Amino acid sequence: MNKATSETPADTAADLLFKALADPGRRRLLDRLRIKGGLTLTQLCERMPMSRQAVKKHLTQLEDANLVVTRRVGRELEHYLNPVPIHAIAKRWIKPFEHVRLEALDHLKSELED
Amino acid sequence: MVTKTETQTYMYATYIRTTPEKLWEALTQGDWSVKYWMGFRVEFELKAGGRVRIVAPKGMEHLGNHDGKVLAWEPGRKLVYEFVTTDKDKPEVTAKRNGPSRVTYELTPMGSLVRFRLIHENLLPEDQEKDPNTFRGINNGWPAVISSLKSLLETGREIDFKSDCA
Repeated sequence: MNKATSETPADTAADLLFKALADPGRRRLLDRLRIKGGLTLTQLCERMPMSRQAVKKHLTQLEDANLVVTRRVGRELEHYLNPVPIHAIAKRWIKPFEHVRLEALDHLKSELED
Repeated sequence: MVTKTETQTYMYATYIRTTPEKLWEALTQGDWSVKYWMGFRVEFELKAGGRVRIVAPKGMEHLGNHDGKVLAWEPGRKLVYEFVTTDKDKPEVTAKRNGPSRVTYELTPMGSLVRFRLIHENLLPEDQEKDPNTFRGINNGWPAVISSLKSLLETGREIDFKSDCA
């Protein structure tokens, strides 16, 4: 049991995900990796207006949220965008919204047909 | 200047509340894959060097089957296979390919979870789907399939892409 809260493991994962996404610098790193996967820390530092140390810290946070996965190839550490957790979170809310939209369409349809 | 064909790699990871044995079964048996892989049925010859076919469901034959060879078969741990998509390629894309693409599944037990990593290598920039609002393309397809696999193993219910995310 978590102390003093009813946080589930899913909540913890969601917290990490939203915190990781709540920074423009980190979102920019994800954009870079979406365009081209497998970039190293040095490559990711290019065109980023921050220190290597800061980029490294952001990458660690993205990894903790499972938004970035890495693998070692020779001496290089390659970084990849992993959108799987975003899918999981989208699934949690898309369905309810979908129902609202479908209902709205249904109302429109019956009004037009009346 | 020598132009070298630039290949691309995709890598995905998820943590699933299951056992490596159960996950292996779901990954290698067609009766499981039809549920989480949008109707696609996997057919593995259960050994390295064996054949693998991934068969499109009825009504979606235009998406094509994937055929290839099993390159590594380590039950509960690691599976590597060729993922051939050439039947859908334009001729100029086929000419650029340096052999079939390769899919690796890695299963690592971590406490009550299994870390599942999927690495898809030797792809071309042409394999990337630029439009994110579709499940077409390697980059849009895998995350959806992996989420559905996780959902099926943890809740007994796969993601129904038609009604859940239409």
